[in-house]
Amino acid sequence: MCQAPIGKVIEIEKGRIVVDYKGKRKELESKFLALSKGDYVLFSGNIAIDKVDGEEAKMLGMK
Amino acid sequence: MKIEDRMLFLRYALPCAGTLIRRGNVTQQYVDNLIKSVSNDIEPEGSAEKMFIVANAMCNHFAREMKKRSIDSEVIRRYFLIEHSRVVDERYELMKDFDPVDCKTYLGKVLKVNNGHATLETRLGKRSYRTDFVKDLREGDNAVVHWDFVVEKISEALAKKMKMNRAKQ
Repeated sequence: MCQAPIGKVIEIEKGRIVVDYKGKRKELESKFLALSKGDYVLFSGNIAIDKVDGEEAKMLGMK
Repeated sequence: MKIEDRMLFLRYALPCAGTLIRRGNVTQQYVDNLIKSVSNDIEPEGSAEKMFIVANAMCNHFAREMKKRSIDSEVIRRYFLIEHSRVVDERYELMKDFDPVDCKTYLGKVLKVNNGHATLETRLGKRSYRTDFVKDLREGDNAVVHWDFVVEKISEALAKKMKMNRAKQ
């Protein structure tokens, strides 16, 4: 699986984050990841899967 | 990741490297060399598995969920055999910019083995697949296919588990 949606973190609360995905807000569950606002995060369904760095986000077509 | 787990991860992930080549992330030559290494059971230098950003991230996610310190064969098989189809469908709903059919892994039964290829029957029907990664394939074996490759042989028990799981999806 080489494709996955990536969002930019815009809000962080305990156990959940909000990302900007293609200009829309998307709320995600995030139990395990240490994230900061501005980070790029790969998600599946409503779950934040992993943080990706700028270069990885670019490779996946986000930047 | 241990060597044997890296090799298993690459056997599952390399069949979809065509997407990365089309995007210009890696060259055909690089991928061909990796396929050759993995086929000959020679561990590739560097961190080839890192180019599969999504599969790597998904396996890291399941490793954390399974309370494992790193990705191992159980995590890799959980992702590619149990969770992959659902995840592909979810992503297709959102993105619609890739082929969700060939992207999935399928369970197949080996019908015929030729030189370097084998015919397997899967949910997609009868098709020929490359056998670079599985040298001891025999007629009647259960095996997993991904894109145009046979990835690995699997036991009857795992094949049953996979069928039951996919029937629910």
